[in-house]
Amino acid sequence: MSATDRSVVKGPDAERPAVARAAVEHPTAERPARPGFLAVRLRVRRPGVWAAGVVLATLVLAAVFAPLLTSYDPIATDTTATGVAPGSPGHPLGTDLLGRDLLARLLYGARTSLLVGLAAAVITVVGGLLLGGLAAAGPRWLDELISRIADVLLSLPMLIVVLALAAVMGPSLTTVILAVAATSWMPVALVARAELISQRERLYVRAAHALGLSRGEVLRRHLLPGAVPPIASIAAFEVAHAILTESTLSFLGLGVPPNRPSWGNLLTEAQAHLLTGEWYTVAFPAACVVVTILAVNVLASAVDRREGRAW
Amino acid sequence: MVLVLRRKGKTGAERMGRYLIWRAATAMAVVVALSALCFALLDLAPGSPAADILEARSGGRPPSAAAVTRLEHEMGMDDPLPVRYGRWAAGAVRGDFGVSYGSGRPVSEVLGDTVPWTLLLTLVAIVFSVAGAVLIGLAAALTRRAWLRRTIEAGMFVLGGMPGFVTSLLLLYVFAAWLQVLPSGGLSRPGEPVTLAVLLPHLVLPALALAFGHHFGTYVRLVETGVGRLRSAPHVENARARGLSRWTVTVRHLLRPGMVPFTARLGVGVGGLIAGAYATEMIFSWPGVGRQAIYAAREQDYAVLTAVVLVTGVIVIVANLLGDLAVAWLDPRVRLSGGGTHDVGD
Repeated sequence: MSATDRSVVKGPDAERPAVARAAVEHPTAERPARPGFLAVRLRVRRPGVWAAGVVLATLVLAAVFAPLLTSYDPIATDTTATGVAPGSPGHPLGTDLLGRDLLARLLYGARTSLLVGLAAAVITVVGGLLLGGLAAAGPRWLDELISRIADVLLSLPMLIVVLALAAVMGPSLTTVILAVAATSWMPVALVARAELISQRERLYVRAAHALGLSRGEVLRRHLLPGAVPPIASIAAFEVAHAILTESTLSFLGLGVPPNRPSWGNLLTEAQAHLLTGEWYTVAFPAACVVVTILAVNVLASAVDRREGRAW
Repeated sequence: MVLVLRRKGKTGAERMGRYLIWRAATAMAVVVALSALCFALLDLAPGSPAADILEARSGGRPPSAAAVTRLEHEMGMDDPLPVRYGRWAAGAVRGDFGVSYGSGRPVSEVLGDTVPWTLLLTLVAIVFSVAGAVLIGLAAALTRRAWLRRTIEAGMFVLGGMPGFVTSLLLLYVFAAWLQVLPSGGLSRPGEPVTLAVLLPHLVLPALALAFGHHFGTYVRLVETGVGRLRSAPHVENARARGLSRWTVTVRHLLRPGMVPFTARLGVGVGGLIAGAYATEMIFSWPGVGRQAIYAAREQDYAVLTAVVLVTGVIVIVANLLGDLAVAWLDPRVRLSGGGTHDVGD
């Protein structure tokens, strides 16, 4: 709510309609700051939120600087050092049964898994926003069409659809990203649509129309800022969802191609070692997946204004 | 999204009837949309079944382009799209999904061998899931001990971040590798009849893994908030004041109305369970439809894959329908308004 309240009192536009007109006609002209986009209130006082932020930042940095943090090649096998236990000199997290350094594989795997998670979430949110906006602003039939498609997709088990898409498109990074985005844009679109429609009739929006702002300008300056907090929360959950789906798909051998390490791929190969004693080849990648998803979930619920469940 | 339809029916039964018809009609529409999606998948899939068949007939030699075109014409694969879809849909309704590209067996036979196993696993998992969610949710909602509530909340949060296959691997490690009290899989050995004594131990781990997957936290939270909201509602205070036993108050006045949001979500959750069964079945080598689908996807056996997608989709849609009907039964407001609440799942 805070976003919309601030939008009501914002800016000198209300007092100087002529300037507002000028700002519309000349986008480079004097323009008041947009307060709305910073209206996402993070509950930063909670220690859990800080911890989650630190964990995520560490993971991202470790992924970015992976080549600096390890001298091993994540794919190269070493027959002289197979199945080395964690804590051994040279291999802090041990090696798998092909002699590949587990730390190197985890670091390079983080690159793939985080990249897929972020890219899929960005496409999901942008696509969902566009479709939700179209549904809210477009003609009636378009609204019906988009809403019904979203309903149908929501009533299907997504993993099955992702699986089928991945099988048809063939295993690749792009496949995973597109398959995840194609099957998870619906909540974003429905929330964006509902939010935009509920705001469309508010007084300050009608006032903006009356002042002669174009539809696009009203959307950008008055409608979107109010829709940001709920969508930011969903977007964060989408990142977690995308990482989860990627790891599941890769684990099932239908996601990222096996020659490229990702946390899910590591688990597929390690699965057989669980019963033979190399438990750590499973434990470390699994811990990476779970910790990342938990950290993202903590941040997401810190953004969420409806449910205050952040540690 | 809440979808409320207002219809002017005279009696409660009439309104319930209208509601049933409306829900059944939407479910049918979703099934049709799903079948179109499946057919599109089958149609878009790379490769030509005709070429595969010819190759299999000639013992692995790549067939000539002319022969492929001739067989495609014989199979009617150059007909216009609506004709092909109509033919495929007519077959699918009769349970005829064609022949598996990989094994050459009829797809319906493959489904008949695998679907019952998945249904068994899913049903047991649902029982575990509901029992666990009600017990833990009630405990969290009714306890006066803050530490217990906190522990449950934290536990459910951690569970919410665990992909189904991680839960499965964890259970596998603890019970099959470390404690060695339960088998790690290998239920189906060809030629060996599956007796109950063999089945039960094999069933425990996959059913537990499936039941306590990352949806479980949502269930517990729904029971907790559903019941917690009613804890000091007037009708509950009244029931307590009338001197009803704690048990009666809890079950009849707290649990039944408090279960509504949970039940609504459970219908949607069945989809998550069946989808989650894919990884679980792979890990515990359970001979179900999920494992079959993974094999089909890896071998690009699109005939089996689309049939699996369609059949599981229909099962999920029916489960959603049953969930909505259960909500209507539990909550007279839905029943009497003649409309339904449709919960947005993930």
